[in-house]
Amino acid sequence: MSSVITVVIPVFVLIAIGWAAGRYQYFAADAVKAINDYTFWLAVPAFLFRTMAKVELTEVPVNLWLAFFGAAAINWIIATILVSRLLGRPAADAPPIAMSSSFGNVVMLGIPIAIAAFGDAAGGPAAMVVSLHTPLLFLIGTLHQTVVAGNGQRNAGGIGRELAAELARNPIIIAIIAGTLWRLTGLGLHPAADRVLLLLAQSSVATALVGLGLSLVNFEIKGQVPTLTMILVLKLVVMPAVAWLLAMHMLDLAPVAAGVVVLFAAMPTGANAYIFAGREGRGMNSASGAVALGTALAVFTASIVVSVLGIR
Amino acid sequence: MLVILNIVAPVFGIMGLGFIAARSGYLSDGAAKAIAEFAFKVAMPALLFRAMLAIGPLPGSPWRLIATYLLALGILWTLATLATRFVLHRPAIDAPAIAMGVCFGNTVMLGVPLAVTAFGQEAAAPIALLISVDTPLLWIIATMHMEAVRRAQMPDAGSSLGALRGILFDLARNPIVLPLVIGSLWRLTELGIPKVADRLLEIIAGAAVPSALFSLGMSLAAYQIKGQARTLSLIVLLKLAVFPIAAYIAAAWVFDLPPLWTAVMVLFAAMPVGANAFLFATRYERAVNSVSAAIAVSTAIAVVTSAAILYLLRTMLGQT
Repeated sequence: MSSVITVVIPVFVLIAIGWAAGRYQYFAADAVKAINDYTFWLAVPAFLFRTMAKVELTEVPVNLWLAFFGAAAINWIIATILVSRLLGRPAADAPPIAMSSSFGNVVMLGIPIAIAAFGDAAGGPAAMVVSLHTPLLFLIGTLHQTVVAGNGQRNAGGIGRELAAELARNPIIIAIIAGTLWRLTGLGLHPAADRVLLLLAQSSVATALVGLGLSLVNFEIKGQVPTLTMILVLKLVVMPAVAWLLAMHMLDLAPVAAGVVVLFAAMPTGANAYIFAGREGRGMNSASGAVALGTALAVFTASIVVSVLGIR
Repeated sequence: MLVILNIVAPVFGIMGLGFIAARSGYLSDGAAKAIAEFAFKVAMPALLFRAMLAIGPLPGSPWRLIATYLLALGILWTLATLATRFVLHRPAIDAPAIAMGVCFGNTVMLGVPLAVTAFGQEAAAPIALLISVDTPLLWIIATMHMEAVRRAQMPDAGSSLGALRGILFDLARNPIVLPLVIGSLWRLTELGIPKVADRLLEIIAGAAVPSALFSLGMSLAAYQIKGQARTLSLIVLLKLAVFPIAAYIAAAWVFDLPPLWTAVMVLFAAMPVGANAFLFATRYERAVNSVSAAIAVSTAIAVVTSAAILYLLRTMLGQT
């Protein structure tokens, strides 16, 4: 219980502070963008660079990726089947809805909770999941869309180029690659440089959560009740349960790695799912509702996950 | 010397990152203001509130610290006022803004990070005390000085009480002063603080130093180096060299403060010109360009001077 109080409650109070600051205009109007830019372009990259520059990786974490992305893939398949069988919606709605059911807010919410729960030890596994999270899910989503649309306009090469260009500009990916390369040079981090990175990394927890709260003001709880319910159940219940099975019982991950995988799998729908839905103009209301309501409900699911994992 | 590098380099390093981010357009235009608002209205208050609760028994009377600060301030304010008239030959009405530039150091965004990393948690008491008197005192002195000059020149300029009341009203809502007052009152209740609330404050406070330094660096990109070279040089010289010497004399010789308090006092006196001086100058439209330039120039020079002063202070404290 004490871990729930010291890990989960402060996280959600910070989100609530951000939300209230946005709702009652405590900051200037463009604060959401500025604070989220600071987090996404500077503070989180600093954390990931520092983690990768220091972490001791002996092998490619195949099992870690299998556990997390296996759970995401299973969620994607279930969501796709249920969209037509249960909800009776057209197949073209499946990609955005599956995205909302699988794409969790691992960066802005997952990393702060993982740091609060496991400390620095969470860095390595967290960076490993994050490094593939957006690229892989966006690739799957785009491929799925292409298949559903049934036209050959966007061939595989085009998608690949688009994705590569997108990733080459993504500060999260750049930081992970740069940190890895830095470690390979064997130069180590000068204490002064390390301190700069550490200070920025520390600040990411507060700015990520307050920024998340600020941006929630823009998400309304709307969308069709059956669709929204399905997304929430898949994202908040099924995905962490499957991840737990895979990480703890089938792939035998180390405790902290398993903890990070389950925790990340339990994260509510991230804002990127809304952006994805917006690209095709389908399922946007459901994505918006899933982000807003999912983040609020995650107080309970994150508490349960943290208790089950037995974090002290 | 390596220790000093490890203290000073990260502080100015994060500032430098902010400066580069603003100049290169890496972050959006409004970001400097928004991140500064986050630092000032959310993160710094949490850090200061927590610092207030963490203060142990005081090694000396807080009044001696404040008296020392007042003495050093009095010397510098007088010097700046005299220099405005007799060295720079500027009108008397420019004196308050120039004196504000000379006396208002960047204690919150730069002084706090440097003092905490250099002297540790034990320095929390003098830091909190100085910060809580710093802003109110200087705004009140500057406003009174300005109103006195205005009344001397234009006897029917309106009530100076009104201006002072406006300042006091602003200060009562100041997000830096407020948490220090609430924190010290909370201390008196001896209620302590629940673990979950403390953890929350700790997370927020963890963002205070980096976001303050980063936004400071971003805002420096906006200050332009213009104005009169003579006024600018005078402000920078008085601020970075004369003020710390006056503070040392007042602290070590006149009031005989505990060494750690002397160190914090001198470090704070050596901080470069803070943004509040610019706010004051723009409010009365006096010496605006000089003060704006003094912020940028003195902050750049402070990379070297603050390292030198920290070296001297740590030698004085026997921490080498």
